[in-house]
Amino acid sequence: MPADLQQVFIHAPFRNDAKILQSLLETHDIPSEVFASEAALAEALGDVLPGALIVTQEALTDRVRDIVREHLAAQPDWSELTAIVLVEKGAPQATLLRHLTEEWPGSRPVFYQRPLATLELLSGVQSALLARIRQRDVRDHIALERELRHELNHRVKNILASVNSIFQMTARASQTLDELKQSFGGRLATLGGVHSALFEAGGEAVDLEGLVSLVLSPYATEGGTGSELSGPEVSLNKDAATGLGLTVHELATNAIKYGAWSVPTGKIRIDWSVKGADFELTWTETGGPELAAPTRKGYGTRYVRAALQNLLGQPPEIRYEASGLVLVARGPRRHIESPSPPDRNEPETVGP
Amino acid sequence: MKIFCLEDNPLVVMHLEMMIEDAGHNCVGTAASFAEALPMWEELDFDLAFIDIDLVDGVTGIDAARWLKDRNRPSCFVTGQSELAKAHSDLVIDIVTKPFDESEVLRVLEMVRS
Repeated sequence: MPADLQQVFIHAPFRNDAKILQSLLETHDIPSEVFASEAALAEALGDVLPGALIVTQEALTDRVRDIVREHLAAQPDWSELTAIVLVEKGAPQATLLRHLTEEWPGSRPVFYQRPLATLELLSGVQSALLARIRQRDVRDHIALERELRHELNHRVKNILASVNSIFQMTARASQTLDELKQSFGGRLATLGGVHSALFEAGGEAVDLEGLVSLVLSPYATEGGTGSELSGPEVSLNKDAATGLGLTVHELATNAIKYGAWSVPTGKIRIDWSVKGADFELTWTETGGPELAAPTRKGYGTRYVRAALQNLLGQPPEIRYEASGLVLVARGPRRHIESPSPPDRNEPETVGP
Repeated sequence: MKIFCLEDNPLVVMHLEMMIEDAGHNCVGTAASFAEALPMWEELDFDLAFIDIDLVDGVTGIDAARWLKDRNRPSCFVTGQSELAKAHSDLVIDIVTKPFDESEVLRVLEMVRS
């Protein structure tokens, strides 16, 4: 089967013209197909876009002109067919060119005089086929752009849905307008930060340690300076980056309000490990005030449970110990890892 | 009423859960993929399922809605894929387009209740 847009159509029904032309093209590995009748040409041009069309002047009847005109009118915007017309010596080429240019918009008529200069014709055909390759690139680019626009539209709607849900739930949990502004602003900023990290990392993967550091960085000015991170390199997929990023944000906000970071001596350790097919992340607060389990589930606790359940297929273990809050999240590593992490030399079993 | 949420965005899951509970109903289960939901649906009894179309295992929300429709169990698409949802509107009792207004979700709940 000839390559896409690379087959030359030949309509030269008199004498041995078609056979000679096809043989000539074949010796130069240019695929072609001969259409002896007008009906066969019409059917073929109705179905596919040829690489180029070669037609002899005496075969250029009103019907053939109409067939080509209809084909050109139906071709996509990116397509421009090269129509090679083989004319007799002494034929009024200027008049014919003017007529065909008017009749065949979206084509590039080229004339070669018989007897044919073989090299000249081959050069013309090859030039037409090269133009078709460029047109094919344009076609593929347009298709890719359409696909990307569709995907972008879908992602924007999902982001808006997330922002809408964050706002509605934050509003329900806020007692004052200031509380709403502060909580919603913090959550939106985290979402924006995760999006930027994903974008800068190429769109589909982000490093876990880098993500946690990014999310915790705004808390340094609010007393959240005592944190230690430890774990192997893990390349997160975009859903895991969003889920874990917002989870860390909620845990940090909670620590500032009630936990380890509400006092100067408090510390937070975030450890993660990858063992075989399993991933585990532990958030441990120490040195803060003694915590009692909350009497009601606020936005933060609900989000952390929902996000980790959604991401890892099981809810996290949350303990309110005398030394501070401990959260352990476990699940299959394939749920959180990017499918093709860039250049990673990770041992099979790592972690503390 | 008992409601199930098949949705892979935890924020939207939480939001739906809160709305369902505030309206006096129970969210009896959630899942992020059709594969995860299926064994739960074999066991669980519920009056309505909210279904996103694009889930963690691909565009499987359509299959999920068809599975429920074949068993005469009502579902409603909650999705950003409005064209796909409209093309498969025969599988569901209604379509809520993301980002959604809370009143749209409440309207569907009320429709099922009555």
